[in-house]
Amino acid sequence: MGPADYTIFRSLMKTWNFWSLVVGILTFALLFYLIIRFRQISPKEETPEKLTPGVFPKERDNLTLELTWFIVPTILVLYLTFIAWQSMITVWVDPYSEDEDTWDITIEAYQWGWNFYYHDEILITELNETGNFTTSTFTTPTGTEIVDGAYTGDGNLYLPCNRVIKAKLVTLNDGGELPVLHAPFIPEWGIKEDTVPGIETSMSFTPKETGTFDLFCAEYCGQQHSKMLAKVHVVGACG
Amino acid sequence: MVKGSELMNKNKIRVISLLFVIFIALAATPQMTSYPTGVNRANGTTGCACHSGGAGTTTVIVDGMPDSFVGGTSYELNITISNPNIAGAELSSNMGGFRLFATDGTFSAGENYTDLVQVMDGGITHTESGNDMRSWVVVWTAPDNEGQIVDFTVHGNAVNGNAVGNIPADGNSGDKWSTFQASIPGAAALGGGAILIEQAEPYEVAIAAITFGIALFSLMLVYVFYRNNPDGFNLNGLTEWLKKWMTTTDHKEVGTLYFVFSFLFLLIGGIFAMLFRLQLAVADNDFLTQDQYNSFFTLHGTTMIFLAAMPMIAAFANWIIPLQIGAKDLAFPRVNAMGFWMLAFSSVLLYGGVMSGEGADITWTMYAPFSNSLGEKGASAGTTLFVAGIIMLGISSTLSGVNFIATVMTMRAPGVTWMKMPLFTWSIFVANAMLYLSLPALIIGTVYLYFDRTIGTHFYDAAVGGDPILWAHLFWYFGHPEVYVVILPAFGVVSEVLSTSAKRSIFGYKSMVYALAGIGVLGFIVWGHHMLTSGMDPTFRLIMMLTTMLVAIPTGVKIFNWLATLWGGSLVFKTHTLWALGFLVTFTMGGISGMFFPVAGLDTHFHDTYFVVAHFHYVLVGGTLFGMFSAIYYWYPKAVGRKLDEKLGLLHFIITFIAMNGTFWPMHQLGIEGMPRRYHTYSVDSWSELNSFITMSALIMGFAQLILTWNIIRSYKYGEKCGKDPWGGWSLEWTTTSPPPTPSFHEIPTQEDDNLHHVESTGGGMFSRMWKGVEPK
Ligand code: HEM
Ligand SMILES: [Cu+2]
Ligand SMILES: [Cu+2]
Repeated sequence: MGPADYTIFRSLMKTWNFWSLVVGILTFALLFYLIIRFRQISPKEETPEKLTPGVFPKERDNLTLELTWFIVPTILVLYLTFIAWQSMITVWVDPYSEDEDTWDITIEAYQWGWNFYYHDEILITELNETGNFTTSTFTTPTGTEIVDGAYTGDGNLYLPCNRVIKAKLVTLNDGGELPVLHAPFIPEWGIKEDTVPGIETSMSFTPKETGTFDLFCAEYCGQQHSKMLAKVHVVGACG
Repeated sequence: MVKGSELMNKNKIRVISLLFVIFIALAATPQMTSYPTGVNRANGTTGCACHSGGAGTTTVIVDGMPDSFVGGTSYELNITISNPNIAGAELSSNMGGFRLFATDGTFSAGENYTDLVQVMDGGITHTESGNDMRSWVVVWTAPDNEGQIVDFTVHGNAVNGNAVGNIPADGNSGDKWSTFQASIPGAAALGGGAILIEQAEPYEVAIAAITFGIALFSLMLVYVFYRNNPDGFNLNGLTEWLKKWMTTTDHKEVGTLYFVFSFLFLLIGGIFAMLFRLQLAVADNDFLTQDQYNSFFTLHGTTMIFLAAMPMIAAFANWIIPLQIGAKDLAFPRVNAMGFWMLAFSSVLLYGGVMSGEGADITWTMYAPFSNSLGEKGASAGTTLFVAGIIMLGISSTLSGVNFIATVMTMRAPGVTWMKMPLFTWSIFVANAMLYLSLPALIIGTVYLYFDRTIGTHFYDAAVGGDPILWAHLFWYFGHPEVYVVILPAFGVVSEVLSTSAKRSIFGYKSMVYALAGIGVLGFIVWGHHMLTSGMDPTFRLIMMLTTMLVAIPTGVKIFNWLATLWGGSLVFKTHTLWALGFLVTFTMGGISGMFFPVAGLDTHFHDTYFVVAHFHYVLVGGTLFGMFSAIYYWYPKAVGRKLDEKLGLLHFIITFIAMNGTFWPMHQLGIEGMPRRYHTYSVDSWSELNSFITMSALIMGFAQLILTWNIIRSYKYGEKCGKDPWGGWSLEWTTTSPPPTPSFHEIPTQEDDNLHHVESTGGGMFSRMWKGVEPK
C-alpha cells in the first residue's frame, strides 16, 4: 500500500526517515541518559543554583553550546530544504515545460464524483476496448471548446503506461452544481492537487506499472466527500 | 431629583438600544430554524438491486407523505428522482427506475399509472414501460395498527440509457442510484397510545451525554455551594453565590471559570472523538451517518482548539500571570471577565446547530467555497450560527489578548524586568501578541463568510467573481500563528516545571526568550505550507517551504536547552515532571513529523491524509495538552492549597501516555498508505486492522481522563495540604500563600536577583546589554 517504489515519494521518504531517526535517537538517548544520570537520589542533594521564591536564580548559559545547537540544525535544515527544492522542480516545474512530451487529460470534479476527459488520440483505440469511450464535446471553464479528441469514459480513469501524464484539474460549473473545492488524490503516485472553481490547476505523474488503483477526493467537499471515489486503470504495454 | 430622572432616562435609552441591537441581530440571522424541511438529500447506502451503477449524485424526493398516518387511509405518494449529470430529457427511453418498500401497509398504482408501476414482494416498483420517466405516483394504504412507526425505503436510479441496442451488460454502467428513507408514525404512536421502544441513535447518544453532562455539572455546582457552608444552605444563597461567580472580575476567579469551562469542553470534545472513532473502527461502517460524522469531527476540532485548549491556557494565564509578575490583578479586570462570558455564549452558538440535528459540517478550517454555500448540497443550516459563534470567539480572544499584553507590559513589579521575567509569562506574552496580530484576518474572513451566508454577498463565490482561495489565505494567516498560540504557553509551562523539578535554573534563559520571539516572528510567514497543493505559484510554494523548515531551528534550540537544564540537576519525579518529560518525547516526535510536510514530493501525498492527523495530534495532544496537564498538577496546589493525589496522577499519566501513542502513532502508517482525513468511512479492508486498534486506544485514552476529573474533585477536599512553595519554584507566585489573597498582593513585592551577587555588568551596547540582561537605568 502507499506510493509505488519508483515514485519520488519513496526516495524522499528514505532521506527523511534517516534524518528523523538520527535526530530522534540522538535527542531521546540524551534525554533518557539525563533523566537517569541526574535523577534525585537523596533530597539533600545540592545543585549549583539555589531556587528561592522571589529571587531570579543565577543564570547559566554556554554560548558555544547554544551556537552549536543553533548552527548544526541550521545546516541540516538548509540541506533538507535544498533537496525539497529539487523535488519541487521534479513535481511542479519540469512536467510543465514546453518540450516535455505529455499525455494530456482533464479531470473534472463535481459534488460528488469525477468526469475524465482525454485529449490524446494515440492510445484511444487501444484503451477503447477496456474503457467504453464515447466521443463528446467538452467546454473548459475558461471557455475553450474541445471537439476532437475529447472522450468521456465510464466514470473511471484509463491511462497508458510509461507516459508522463499531465492532468488539468477543473470544477464542473454548469450552473446547477455547487462549485466547491475538491482534490483528486492517487496514493499510488503520491500525488494530489486541489480543483479550484474558476481556476485551472494541474498535476503530473508517470505510471510505470499496469494495474488498478484508487482515486480519492482529498479536499473536504461536503456530505459525500468520502464517497467521491474512482478507479484508475493503467493499461497497455509498459515498454 | 433632576439628576435621578436623568439617570433613569439614560438607563431607559440603554435598555432600548440594547433591545434594538438584539432585534437587529435576530433579524440578520434568517437561518435560525435549523430543522431540515424535508428529507431529500442524496444518500446512497444500500443497493438498487437491478443496477450496478453505484451510489452517486442522484436525488430522490418523495412528496405527499403525511406527518402521521390514520389506519386504513390511502395516501398518494409522488416519487421523483433527478440527477443533473445524467441527462434524461433527450433520451426517448430508459431514464430511470425506483423500488419502494414499507415495513407495513399495502401499495397500489396511482391514477394513470396502472401500466407503469407494479406491486412486487411487499413493495412497489416500475414496470418495463415505466422506466421511460423519472417520476411516478403510487398509493399507499396505511395499516390498521396506528401504534407503530412505518419505515419507508426508496431506491431511485437515474439511468443514462446507454443500453440502446439491448446489451444489458453495458446498460448498467454510468447509472447512479441513491436511497431515500423516511419514517411515518401512526396517529396513536404520536398521541402516546402505544409504548414505543426505539433504538437510540448516536446523535441522540451524543446529545444525551452532553445534556447529562450539563445536568451533572449543575448538580455539582449546587453541591460545591452546599459544601461551602452546609449549615447556612438555602436557595437564595445559591443565586447570590452564582451571581458572585457571574459578576466576578478577580483574575483568580475568572481563571477558575476559564478552567472549569475548558475542562468541560475537553471532555465533550473527547466524547465526539470517541463516537467518530467508533464509526471508523471497521471498513464500510454505518454507525454514524455522513452528516453526523461531518458535524462531529467539525465540532471536535473547533471545540478542542477554541473551547478547550485556548481557554485552558487562558485559565492559567489568568491565574498565574499577575502572581508571577507581582501585580494585584490584571490590567483590565472587567474586559477580562467580558472576554470569558463572550466565550461562554459563543459556545452556545457553535453548538446550536448540533442540538437541532443540523450541526455545522464545515471542518474546523471552515474552507470556503463550501462553508459559504447554502442549499441541499451546501453546508448544513447550523453553519450560520456556527460562523456567528466563531466571530464572537474572535472578539473574546481579542479582549483577553489585549489584556495580557497590557498587563505584562505595564504591571511588572520592581525587579521583574523584561529579561528577568519567568518564561511562562514570556510565553503568554508572545502568544498573545501573535494572537492579537493574527486575529483580524480570521475575524474579517468570518464576517465575509457570514455575509455570504446571510445577505447574499459573494466574497468567496468564484462563479460570480469572488475569490475561492481568499478564505484559505485569510484563515491560515490566522491559523498558523494560532497553532503557536496554543503551543508556546505549553513551552512556558515545561520550562518552569523542568527547572523546578531539576532544581536548576533554566539553561540559556536568553536564548530561550529569543527562540520564543523568533518563533513568534517566523510563525507569521509560513501560512502557505497549508496550501502547497492548492494551485499556487511554485515560487510562493518554495518560499513557504523554506520558512517552514526554518521554524525547526528555534524549536530545536528550545528542546536542547530543556535537555541541558536537566544536566547536573537533581531531578524529582512529581506528576507534573512526568508530564513535562512526556511532552519532550511526544512533542519532539510531532516536531519531526512536521518536517515531512514542507517538501513538494512528500506533501503531494501527505496533505489531507491521516499523516497530518497524526502530526497535529502529536503537537496538540502530546504538546499543548500534556503541557496543560503538567500545569494542572504544578499549579493546582497554589490555587487550592492542597496537592493533587500523586498516585492517581501517575496512573493517569501512564495510561494516557501509552494510549495516546497507541491512538496516534498508527495514523502515520495509515497516512503513508493513503487514507484521506475527514472520511466518514473507507472501503479499503486492509485499513481496518490499524483503525480498530486506534479506536480501542482512543477509548482507553478518553476514559483515562475520568481519573484526572476525579482527582481534581477529590483533592479539593481531601488532598494533602501544602504551604507557599510546595515544589521549590523560584518565581513570585511561590512567595504568596496558597491560595493567594484577594487582591493577590497586599503589598507589591520586589523580585531579587541572584546574579547581582555574582556578575558585575554595566555598559556595553544595546545588544550586549540584552544578552547580559541589564536594563538601562
Ligand atoms: C481522545 C482523544 C482524541 C482522539 C481519539 C482524536 C481523534 C481525531 C481524529 C481521528 C480526527 C480526524 C477526523 C477526520 O479527519 O475524519 C481528529 C481531528 C482533529 N482533532 Fe482530534 N482527537 C483527540 C483529541 C484532540 C485534542 C486534545 C485536540 C486539540 C487540542 C484535537 C484536535 C483536533 C483537530 C483540530 C482536528 C481537525 C478537525 C478537522 O479536520 O476539521 N483532537 N481527531
Ligand atoms: Cu471531497
Ligand atoms: Cu501551519
